[in-house]
Amino acid sequence: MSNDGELSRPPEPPPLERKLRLSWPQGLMIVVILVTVAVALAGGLDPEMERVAATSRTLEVQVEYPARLRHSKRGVFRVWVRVTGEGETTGGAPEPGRSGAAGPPTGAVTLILDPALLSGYDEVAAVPSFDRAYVATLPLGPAGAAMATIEVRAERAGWNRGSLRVAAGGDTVTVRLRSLTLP
Amino acid sequence: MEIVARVVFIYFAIMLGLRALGKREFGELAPFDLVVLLLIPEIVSSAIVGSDFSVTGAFVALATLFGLVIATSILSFRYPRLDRVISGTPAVIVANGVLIPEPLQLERVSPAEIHDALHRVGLERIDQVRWAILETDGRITIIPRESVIRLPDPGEIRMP
Repeated sequence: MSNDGELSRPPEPPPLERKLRLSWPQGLMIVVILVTVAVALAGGLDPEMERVAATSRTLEVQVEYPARLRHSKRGVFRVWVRVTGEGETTGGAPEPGRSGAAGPPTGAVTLILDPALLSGYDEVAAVPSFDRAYVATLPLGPAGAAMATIEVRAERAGWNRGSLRVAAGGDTVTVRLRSLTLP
Repeated sequence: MEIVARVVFIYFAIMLGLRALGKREFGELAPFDLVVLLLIPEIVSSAIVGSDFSVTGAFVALATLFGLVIATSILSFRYPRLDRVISGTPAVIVANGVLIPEPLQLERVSPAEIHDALHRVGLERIDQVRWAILETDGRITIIPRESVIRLPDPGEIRMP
């Protein structure tokens, strides 16, 4: 029998080999958690922009667009168009003092967006604004360049696939786009 | 990626904050303690997810939080020193019937609270206590002196 006054502190717990053991559901959950965190750290679940380019005989088109968005987040499609060659655009005319073949193109190009591409978004706003459903006319700048921005808000989770077409003077460039909205 | 960093930061900030509050805050929730614990999630929720209210953001935040909890649990089990840093150590507040002032003052435990704990185990005086221990979760464990532990006489037991 121990005496009440023998110890100044209660006895310590007995030692134990501290070996880690996990049941299989625990191990599985840890793997899922680790993979999720690793993918998130690698940016695999973050919004992501992509850039694609396409050219034709007289048109150079670059599109930067949100390849991945999260629900209710905003993204911007940016379209740069450059008309090269002989200024075969709507209403184009050679610059005074230069030959018709070498003059910078003037006029406008037409931007046409596939409704399927934008169906998963709401609050779609374009600059310059759309003339009619997802069709905009882009005035050409001094060097035959034009730009458009389309701001969207991701609404429906899933893939949005569709094409973006730029047309000028009988020439057309089509770019296929694919954007994912995460829930 | 930003959400992962936010959760990690907030997790350690809360852990440090709760650790600084001391053991008493966990054992019994006074109204003030309840207010504090209810306000913490209100304050940190926007710091964690910012303006991202997507399911993906919540899932990443949860996975990060669970990952931290699991990692803390595994490391605490594997390394006892780390466990002491994270969870603290039990404090002996009464030894052989004598109050020990330093841990009582550090943890802000009043003698009346010790008496409450005594009463809950059927004791009435502090000199009947061999050890009173403030556990890491804030509860007070009373170990009576052997001289006051006795089994009831058969005549004292009444069946309903």
